[in-house]
Amino acid sequence: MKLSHFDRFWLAEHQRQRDVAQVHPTDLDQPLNAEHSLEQQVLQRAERCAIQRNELTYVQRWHQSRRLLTLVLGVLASLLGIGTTQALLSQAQPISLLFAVGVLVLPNLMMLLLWALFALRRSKPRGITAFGLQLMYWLQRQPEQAALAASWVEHCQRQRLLTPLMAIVTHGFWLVIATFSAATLVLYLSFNDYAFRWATTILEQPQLMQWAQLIGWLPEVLFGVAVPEQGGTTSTADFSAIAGRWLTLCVLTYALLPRMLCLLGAMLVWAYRLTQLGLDLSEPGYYRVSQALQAQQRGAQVVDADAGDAAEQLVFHYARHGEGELIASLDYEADPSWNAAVSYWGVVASYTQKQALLKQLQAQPVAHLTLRVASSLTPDRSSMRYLASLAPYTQALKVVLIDAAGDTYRAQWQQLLQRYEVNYD
Amino acid sequence: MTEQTSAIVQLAVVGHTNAGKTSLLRTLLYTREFGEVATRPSTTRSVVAQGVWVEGRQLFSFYDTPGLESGSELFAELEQQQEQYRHDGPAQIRAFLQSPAADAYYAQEAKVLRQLLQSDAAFYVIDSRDPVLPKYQDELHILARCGRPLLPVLNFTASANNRVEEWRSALAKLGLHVVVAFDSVAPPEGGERYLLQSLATVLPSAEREIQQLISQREQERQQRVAQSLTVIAELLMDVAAQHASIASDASEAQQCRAVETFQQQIRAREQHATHAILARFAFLPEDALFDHLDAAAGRWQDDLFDQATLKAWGKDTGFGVGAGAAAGAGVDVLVGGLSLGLGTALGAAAGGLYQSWRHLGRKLQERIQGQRVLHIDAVALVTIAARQLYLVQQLSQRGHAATTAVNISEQHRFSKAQAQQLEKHLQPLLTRAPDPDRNAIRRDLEHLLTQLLAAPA
Repeated sequence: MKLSHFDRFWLAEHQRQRDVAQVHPTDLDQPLNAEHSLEQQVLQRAERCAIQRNELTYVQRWHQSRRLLTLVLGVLASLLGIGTTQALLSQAQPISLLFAVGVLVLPNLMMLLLWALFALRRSKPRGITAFGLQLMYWLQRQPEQAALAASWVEHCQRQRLLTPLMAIVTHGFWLVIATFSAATLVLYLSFNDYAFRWATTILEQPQLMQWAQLIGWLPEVLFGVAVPEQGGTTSTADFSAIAGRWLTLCVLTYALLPRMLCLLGAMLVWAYRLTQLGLDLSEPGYYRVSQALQAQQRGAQVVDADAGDAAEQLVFHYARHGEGELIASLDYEADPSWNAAVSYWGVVASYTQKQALLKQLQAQPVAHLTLRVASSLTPDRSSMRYLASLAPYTQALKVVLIDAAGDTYRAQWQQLLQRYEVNYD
Repeated sequence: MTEQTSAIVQLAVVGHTNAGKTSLLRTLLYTREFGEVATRPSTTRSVVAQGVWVEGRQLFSFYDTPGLESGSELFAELEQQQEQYRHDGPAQIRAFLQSPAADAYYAQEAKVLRQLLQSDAAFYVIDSRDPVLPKYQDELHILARCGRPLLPVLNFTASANNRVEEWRSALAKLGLHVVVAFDSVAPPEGGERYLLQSLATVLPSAEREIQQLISQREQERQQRVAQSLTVIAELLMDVAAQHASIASDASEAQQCRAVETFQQQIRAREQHATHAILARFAFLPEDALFDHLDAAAGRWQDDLFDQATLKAWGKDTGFGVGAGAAAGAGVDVLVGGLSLGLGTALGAAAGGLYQSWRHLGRKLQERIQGQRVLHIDAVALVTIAARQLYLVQQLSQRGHAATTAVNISEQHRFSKAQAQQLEKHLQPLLTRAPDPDRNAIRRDLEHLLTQLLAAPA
């Protein structure tokens, strides 16, 4: 089944609703075309998920139901149009012209006004659309179908398609009524003999004519047809013929044309909005999926991989002989109040200082070497290597971890020192 | 930008081990899932690249590098060849990278230097809590010999024992005058913008791309907050609209079960919203804890419907815990549909709408059958709103380097007026008014929440 542009976005909305309800979006492990935009990928995924769940059949059924419903509503509207005209023309003759205009035009105009007042700005299905949707829901009773139907409404609302759609349905329905009404009128008036007259019971004749002039203004402007006038030189037969034509043009002016224009406008808006269909990827559901897709396709990449762990190769060999004790602070002395002992070498921070201490120990190994280390400094490979390089020149190496305020790396130091069996405090 | 990377700006992040390079990148890239952050040294051992896209086009590549750990030794070796490469640092580094030591003893440093040579600029990350040590200065000298612009970033500046000034002074002596203080765990307000602007100062050729990134980040920041407020508004509407009917002759056990089920549904809905907000800010579900210390029990618990929780968060609202709580904490019970907007239903039904008639029918049925209806009470509603808003506030200021969860245990309360405003907006849903305009309610709530976020109680 080939999906339309509308259907693809509908399925995306349907999938979004499923994703919102799920803790983790599924079906992201299957590859999508990374060269496409994120929106295209989200649409592709939705289509793929729908195929997997066999939902395309339901989409097809939805369209079948929609077509059936359109046909039913069309037949209903045509019957209403024919029936109204027939009911009017079966009135006792001569038929009141004003009454005829009222019957054939007034309901249409009234409903148009109500639509403009109440339905135009509504974001929910109303009137004939709501009725049609109820029927569609009734036809789609399976849970999967019902969920798709709900997504369809949501999709139309989110894409601002519902208003033009409701307008198309409403104006289409009334246009069919008006068309069949006018066609029946033309047919009956063409091949039958009807008599018309200006009639009133409670109005004055001038008032009646004022109404007639008012109604006749627009047909006169559009088609150049004047309001038929009774009496004078006009015979009754001529008046009926003129009145019949005038009545037909009134139906055309007030029922057919407005609805046709509205329908055309609605269809243009619908077509325009169809071209503007888009996904707001920040919406719940889409957001997580687009993030997951981005993470998959735009994720981190190792460009220079680790070859091994050099620090693990360290070996601590100790001296067999040594004399005396030596204390030094590695990198810096973290305890300013510490009273330096006599055997204190000082701070070993720079490369030169480190080499100097090493040289001194090489010349004169000590029995006990204590290194004071600030636990606020992170252990690093260089420090551990330096400890390993000092070890052969002392019988016992001890690290004193000096704590300072704030976070410390004491645990990390301890872990490393334990690994190499170095004593520590 | 260098010739080979004219399209994408290549930025390396370098520094001593455990200085917070990956943390900085997590915060800059807005992801909790980049690399590994740990307090052990040499956590990052490979060079890892991450692209940054702006409007569908990759503009940047950030490179996380292993920590420098043997700077002093390497610098001493390079010093020996100083005469040969006195005026060509990059050539000296390239020569070093060809040496056997670069593949063995200095393998980690070699990775950093190799990447830096291929980059347009680098952030040099410094743990500002550390004193200025010779080994760090040696590292800086080596990096400087790569001939790439370096922007020192002082990390962990939120720590009380930071040495920012000491570092600034030391960096100035090395000719590095543009220095940015940026705590990757708790970035200062506008910190990211300042960091990127500073980068543009040291790398003017990438100024356009950097400005694009700054604009996108600003836009994303506003979107995140706005979207989160929408999530909260939706949550509040959903929980306010949630009702459950129980028969008037239900046993006490049945009533308790109904209340528990109802509470569970509200909890689940709140959790769902929390996860959605965390996702908006690119945090993980475990990044937020709704804690409240139950002083009596001496334990931490996170139940929305706990009396202590409701009391703490609803303290200033004037509703009072259990004021209408005939059913259970946070849940109110109404009998017979009388107080559930029957008048509204009648009025709307008189308007002739189909939905209103249906709604009226339901009300009357409830009244005739004497059904009880459970709905969330004002205190629970305010508690949910306040703590979700607090979460948004905390996440807006949080860096993605943070490894501890946001603790929503603060008593971030609404005032009585604010709480009443909230309840007023939700009234149509609470009273089950027929056919409420959810879009209008959402808009009003978003507006109110924006105000509350800007000026919290």
